[in-house]
Amino acid sequence: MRNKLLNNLAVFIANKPWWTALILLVVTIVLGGMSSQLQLTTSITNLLPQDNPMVDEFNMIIEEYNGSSSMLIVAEGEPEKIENFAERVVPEIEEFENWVVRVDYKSPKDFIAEHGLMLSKASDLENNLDLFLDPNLDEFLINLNNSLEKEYIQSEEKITGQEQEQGAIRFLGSIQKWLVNFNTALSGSADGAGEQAAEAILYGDEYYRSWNDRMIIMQILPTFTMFDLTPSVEATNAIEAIVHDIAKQTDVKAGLTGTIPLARDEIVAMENDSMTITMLALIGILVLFIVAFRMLVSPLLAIITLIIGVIWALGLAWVLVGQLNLMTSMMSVVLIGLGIDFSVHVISVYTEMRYKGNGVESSLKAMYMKAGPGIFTGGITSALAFLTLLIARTEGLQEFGLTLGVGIIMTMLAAILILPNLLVIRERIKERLGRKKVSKPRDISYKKLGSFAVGLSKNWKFSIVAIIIAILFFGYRGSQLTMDYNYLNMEPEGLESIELQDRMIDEFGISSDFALITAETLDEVSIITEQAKDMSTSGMVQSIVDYLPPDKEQHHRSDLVSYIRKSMATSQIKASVSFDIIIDELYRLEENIIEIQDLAYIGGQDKVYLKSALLIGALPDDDDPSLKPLNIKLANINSDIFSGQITNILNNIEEKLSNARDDINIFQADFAKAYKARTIKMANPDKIELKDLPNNIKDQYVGKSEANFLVSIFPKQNVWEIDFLKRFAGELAEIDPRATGLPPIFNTLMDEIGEDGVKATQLALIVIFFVLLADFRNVKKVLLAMIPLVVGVLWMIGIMEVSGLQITLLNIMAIPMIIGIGIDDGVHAVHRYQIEGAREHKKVFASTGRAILLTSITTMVGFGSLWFATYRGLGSMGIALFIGVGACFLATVIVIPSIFGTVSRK
Amino acid sequence: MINKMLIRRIHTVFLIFSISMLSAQEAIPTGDELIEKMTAIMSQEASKALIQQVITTSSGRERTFEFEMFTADEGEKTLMRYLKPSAAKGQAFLMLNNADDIWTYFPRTKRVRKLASSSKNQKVQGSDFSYEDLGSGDAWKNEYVSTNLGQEKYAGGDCWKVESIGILEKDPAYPKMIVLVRQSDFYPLSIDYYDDNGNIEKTLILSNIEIVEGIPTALKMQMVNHAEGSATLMKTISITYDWAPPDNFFSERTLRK
Repeated sequence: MRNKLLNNLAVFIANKPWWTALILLVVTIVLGGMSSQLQLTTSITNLLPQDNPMVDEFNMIIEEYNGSSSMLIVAEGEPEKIENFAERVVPEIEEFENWVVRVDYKSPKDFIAEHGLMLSKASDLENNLDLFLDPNLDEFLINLNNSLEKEYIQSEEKITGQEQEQGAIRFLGSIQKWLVNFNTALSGSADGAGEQAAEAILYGDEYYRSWNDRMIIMQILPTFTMFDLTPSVEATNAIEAIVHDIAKQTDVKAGLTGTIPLARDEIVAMENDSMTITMLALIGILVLFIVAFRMLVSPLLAIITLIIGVIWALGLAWVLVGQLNLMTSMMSVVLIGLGIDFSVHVISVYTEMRYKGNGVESSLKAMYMKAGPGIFTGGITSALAFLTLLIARTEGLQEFGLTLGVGIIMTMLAAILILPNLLVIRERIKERLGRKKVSKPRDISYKKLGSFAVGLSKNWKFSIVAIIIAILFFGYRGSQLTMDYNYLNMEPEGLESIELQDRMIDEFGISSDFALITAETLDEVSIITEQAKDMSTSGMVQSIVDYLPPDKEQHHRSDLVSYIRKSMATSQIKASVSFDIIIDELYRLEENIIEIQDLAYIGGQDKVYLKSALLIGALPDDDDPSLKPLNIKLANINSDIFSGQITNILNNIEEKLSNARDDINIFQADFAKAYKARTIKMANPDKIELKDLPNNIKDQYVGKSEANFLVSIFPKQNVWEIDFLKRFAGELAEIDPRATGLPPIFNTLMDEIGEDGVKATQLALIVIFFVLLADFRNVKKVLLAMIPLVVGVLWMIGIMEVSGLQITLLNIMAIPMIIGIGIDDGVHAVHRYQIEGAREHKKVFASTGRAILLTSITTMVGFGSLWFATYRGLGSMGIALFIGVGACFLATVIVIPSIFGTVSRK
Repeated sequence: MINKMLIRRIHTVFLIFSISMLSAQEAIPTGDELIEKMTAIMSQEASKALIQQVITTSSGRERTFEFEMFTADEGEKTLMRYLKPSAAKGQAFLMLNNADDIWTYFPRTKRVRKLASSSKNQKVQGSDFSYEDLGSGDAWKNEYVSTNLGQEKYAGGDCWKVESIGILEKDPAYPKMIVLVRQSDFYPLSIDYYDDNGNIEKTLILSNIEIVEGIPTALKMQMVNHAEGSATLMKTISITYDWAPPDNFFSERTLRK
């Protein structure tokens, strides 16, 4: 039946080439039109099963908050310069009203000035109560020291967690600013110093700064998400240009990071890569063809066939799935790598027949008879191997399997319909041009490959022992293959967005890619926030309870806040303060910070150590290599790292003893007045309502429908490092299985893909077995065709390990893919043995061996071109497939003649 | 007659079998007995040791400390004093009443501070050990109910697997622990500490077990913190159990030395 059909096809194409061409042209125009409708989506949630609770939650958050995708400006430089940069860059960015809702870069000072104490926990208020009862400098310092001893020294737990470490740094930062202003006053320039010192203690820093005040982060709230490709690219480019421009003008270093800039970098890299790589692959394949077949026109016809086949595949992809996702976006490259094989088989047998002196029709018939079954079986098995992915739970993998499975069939059909048609038309044109000269018959088969197969079959005992040794060696080495599951290592090298993300983690202890949970009540938000702060993997937790505590909590706090307001209101500002007490308390403050530094040092809290070192100097690092890099950081700020600001102030007072008393009293007058007024204002016991919140806070934490609140949880390390991601996602799931955001979604996606990949691989092997059984109708032949695949995959993994490669998130997909690709070699070889006979090793491998060598090399060139991708993930997949195809070829030409050697002996 | 003899023989066999079963059952120690024996070995009357500890700092750097550690009253009293590096030299911790009371001495300020009682469950100086892990004394016996879950092979040896469930009213440090106790000498080889959600929070692995002055002693202890993905290694450089604390050794005065 199949042979009759192929025979008729050969007759039709040979005799009606122009009609055939017309029909194929119409089909190509129709499918080409369809393929032009294809759109690319980078939505990661589209890849997951839609019944997953985190998908619903994610989509709801995008709808309600816009801000599920982050765009951050990170600026580094001298503290005053980065403030200047921030104040200049924000208004300019906010002018992009189409893209930017607003830029959050400062804490809401007015709101804090009015409600600050109601935002403090009742336990913190109790601990620090004395600090807010007396505004006078001497009493303030006594109370500050009392508070420090309660807060950080007598309870070591206060600085053992990430959240606590950040709190300690902020508190030390406030003390540092107070000291700077106090020192200014001592130097005789008291204007505003007292007021600023009071605000430093009460309001803290307005900006979100690093421990050394030399880095700040600003968050841009966009009107779009990272899945909106056009604005992601255009907005990032425009904003980045402004950021770089103003950074240059203000003498700071600044750039963009977060999911949107990273998505932009990926899109740009992939767009650039896809053109370069496709061209590289096509040119490489063409050159190979010309060298291998020693002809020019036929290879060009094969490339044209391949391009038309890919157009057909893309047209059908539009019919079947409508759009390309992150996985199917690279289907063209995969189809080029795979689809060229069919053309190689067609040209190989056709030219072989022509060189033997056969006519066009008989050469076509011979080509269909000799290569056709192999092409069909190979194409169908490869296609089915990909189609098994339809059992996947993840939609992304289903679409990947469907589009590639159908795409392989399209390229196969193109090869058996278009290429023979083009070859016949070429002959007709040559005839019309009077160039009917038939090439001198010559043998273009690879005799050496045939002789190699004969040698192996004759020495089958030796060959089989060598194969087993190779299997054991590569199998063992393969088992040692390590994994690089850091997603950021898949990205192009030298990206500013990744470099800044690393700097953020280093300086702030938070990653820019965060997780999100919503809650319907404030009590629920409060519980989730506390649980999230307790997570060992969280670096920072933001929620509405930071600005709108639950009613019960507000009730607890209001009594204390009222008491503070009353006490402060009745306090008297002294005209002068005790100089001795001030000096004693400054020394006590120094001692307290020394103790904080000692605890931080043995507790390994590096940032608290650094911050305290700015105040009281560094510790000696002679015999501690872990301390040296920290002290180097300090040396970049202060040439004398062993003396801090308090030490300097105490020296300053002693040096200027005659004036110091007067200066301190001037400072006291300013400070006490400002401290008293601001504390009274901050100690507002009125209940905070939702309507009291500034709009920028509401937008950030309250949904548009006001039916839910958002909690953002920032990981404390690089969240794309797989072990950390797993722990982060695990802890989130314990709090709430709906917890969403890119990190947990990515984690779930990987688990799903992993499970789907294993199931699909198993099913693919079963399907391949039965397809081959239907084709060969002999279990032994089926196993014979499949053995090179199994051996090839083992060798592939071993060679990867020997070559120093690692398993990555992308190249792990090469293993199921190679099942569909690598099976072809064995199928073609066994088919040819079926035609030629079990002892005809030379004939089989000189002819079919040549074809499978050429198909393997062309596929290797196709996939190998991915090595040049700037997107390193694609490169890692390309090189794995390159090795896999090569290993399957070697396994076919070594294993099959060796096994046939045992049979033919008998 | 034959039947009677047969029945008698069956009775005899059954009796022997029952006795052997009974004696076999008696030979299996209960969980509480195993913990009693284990803590008896672990909690020596007094000890003096030189320890090396490696912690990972918050920015991922490894920091190595060396400290001397004194225990008395079966671990109820502990005093630790840092010797190296020079930045930590002289800093000392005194833990009394099974770490319910903790004081720390800062040599640079020459001040002694009492840490809050809640510090008992907190990590010791950046390590994955808690104060209670180091100075638990009789807490295991008093605050947990233990069950022998059966035999298990571990590190090439036969072990008893014991599950200890914390008694809520006694405020145990962990809700559950599972320990593998070596059958030959009742020395623990591995302890899994569970969190409130039933997950293994930390695992203590005891190795390089040598007989020191007749007492099995793990010279290497590694606490693996599964929740945080970190680990702390404590190596015993030297240890003696032949040490008696002078009068008032576990006091503020010694702490300041």
